Amino acid sequence: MRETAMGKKAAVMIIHQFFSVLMTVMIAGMGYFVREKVYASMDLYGIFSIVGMAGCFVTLAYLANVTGEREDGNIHFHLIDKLPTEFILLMFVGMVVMITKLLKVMGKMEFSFAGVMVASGCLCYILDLVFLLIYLSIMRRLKGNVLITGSLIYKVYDFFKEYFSKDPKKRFRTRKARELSEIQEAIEAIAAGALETTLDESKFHGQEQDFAKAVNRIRVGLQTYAQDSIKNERMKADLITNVSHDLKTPLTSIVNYVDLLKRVNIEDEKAKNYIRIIDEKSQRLKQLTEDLVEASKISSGNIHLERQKIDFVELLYQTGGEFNEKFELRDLTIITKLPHAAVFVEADGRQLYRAVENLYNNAAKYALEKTRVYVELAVENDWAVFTMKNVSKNPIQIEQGDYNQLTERFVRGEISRTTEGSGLGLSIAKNLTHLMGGKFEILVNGDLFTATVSFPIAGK
Amino acid sequence: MTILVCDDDKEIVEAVEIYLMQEGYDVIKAYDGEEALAVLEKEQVDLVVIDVMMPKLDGIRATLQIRKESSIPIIILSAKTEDADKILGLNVGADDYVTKPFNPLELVARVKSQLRRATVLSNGGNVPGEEIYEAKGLVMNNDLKKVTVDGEEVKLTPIEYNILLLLMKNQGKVYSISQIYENIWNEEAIGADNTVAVHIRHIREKIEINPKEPRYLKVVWGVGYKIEA
Repeated sequence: MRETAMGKKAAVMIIHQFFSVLMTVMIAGMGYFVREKVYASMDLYGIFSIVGMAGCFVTLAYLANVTGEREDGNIHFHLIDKLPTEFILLMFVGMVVMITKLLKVMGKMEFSFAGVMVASGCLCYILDLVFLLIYLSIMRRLKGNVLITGSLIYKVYDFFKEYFSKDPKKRFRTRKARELSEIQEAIEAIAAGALETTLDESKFHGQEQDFAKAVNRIRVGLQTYAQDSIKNERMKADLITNVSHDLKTPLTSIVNYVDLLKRVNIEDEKAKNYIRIIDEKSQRLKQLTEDLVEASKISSGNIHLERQKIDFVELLYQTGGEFNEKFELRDLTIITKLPHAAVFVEADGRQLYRAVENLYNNAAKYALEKTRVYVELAVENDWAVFTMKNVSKNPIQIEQGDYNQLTERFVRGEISRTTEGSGLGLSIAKNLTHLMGGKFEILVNGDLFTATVSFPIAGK
Repeated sequence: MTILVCDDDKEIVEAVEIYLMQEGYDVIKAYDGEEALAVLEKEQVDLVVIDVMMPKLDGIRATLQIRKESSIPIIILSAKTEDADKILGLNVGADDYVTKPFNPLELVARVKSQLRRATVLSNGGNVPGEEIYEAKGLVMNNDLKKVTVDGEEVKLTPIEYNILLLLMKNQGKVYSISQIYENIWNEEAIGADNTVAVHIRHIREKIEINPKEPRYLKVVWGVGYKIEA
């Protein structure tokens, strides 16, 4: 492909030279006729010179169009294009000056008609070569957008701009210093998490090029690792979802047949007790499979959020209404302290309810009977802070100070595992809160358990 | 009444059969979608309970096939609990969606509700001129002060009745707790408490089969309550 394109260009250049020589020779011939006052073939020469001129312009336009073009769509520069633009322009001016001088000298000489033809033809051929060289170089520069930036003046300007730059990193720099500082910037960007930052290795030299290559390799490695870990988290969530689907089918039969067994008339008290235990445990298993899917989905961020402005106060009244009998059942009193006015936050109402619901459930399950549960919403520094305090029934046994353990999956703060619950509630609440841009905190002081959920207040 | 129960798990089909037979229904069993379609060709069936993940023809495709010819109530049974799965099931023409593992009593209640609805709707039967509000199977007759869900009467206290009436008259509109309080008690809501929320939950427990997944009285968390129009 490239060979034929090159051949085509060369052919057009030769055609162009033919036309330009034709034009010049014809014009020179006409000049000779004028001087010798012979007007016999003026028309013929005139027509040929116009044909030559037209051919010249058409071929020039074509060459301007194709020069430097490559199949990949980029502009390819020749060695001459690396010279400063001023140099090329100077060459052009020099050529014009030389042509005028030559014409003046030749005007004073005496030529025969054939001499005029040969001399003008030869001269035109040589000058046209130089002209093409300059013309095509300027065309390539224009197309590649380097006509200005390739000039000496621009480079000097650029140098002074950097020299007087406010950015101290850019002042007084050698190539080495500039390349090193570019590498430093890239490393800082990668460290800050911009894993798509790539250095153009061809712009660096020597040792700096090795640095740039190494930085690029580190970046690719990190990116692959990050993608893998996201993929693994997703795969884990999918695995848990699939396994729990498979668990649900046999579990359906267990739940159904235990229920049928309860309806059979069984006299034996022991057997009745066994059935009751199977019934309780199968219900627990049911809850556990459901929570497991939720927890894995939420922790992998694989959940759809519909954020809108909602009233935290309204949500807490609604939640209170859902729970009051559950609390009464265990003789727990809820002391609610909420602002009179609405407190708006930006969140997915259903998911925020699920987070708060888990905290209420936690209190309903683990709080000591006949105690008070304190629910409060306060506005602190543009944050809506929800707090729930309750007294734990059993001592909360976690390592000193490490309350975050409680929000890990399957950790429950008590040794006895007889109470209902999957150990996933706080983990779900924490991850949901974080997903919606809120803060989640657990504090344990002796038997006093405090959970805090805060969200930035949304503008009115 | 004849109910077709279709699931590839034999034990589940049999358990459902026992529950439905105890309620006096006739049950035809099928173990994949193709079998279910074959039964529907031959027999007179009043309701279909069908699983999603089955060999040969799954429940979603089978539902699509059934809907081409018939409008009988279909309840989908599935281990998939995602909202997207439920929406898909309801979109292909199922009338209800029950997730596994299900409470057998809940399934029976949903079967009854669908059958009642099918018969009540086909009977038509409201006296013209009466003040009546309807949302799917939930009907309020404000002249007789009567509330029915799929044809079965529900007893509400006066406050519960008034709250439900307010929401039914303005279906789709979301009322906040204080708006409901001001409308029902006719006083300004200063320092509201859980009262309204508790009443709402009681209404849900009376009119919904599963109050945690309400069909009629929806909770818009952090905004208020509404009746789905």
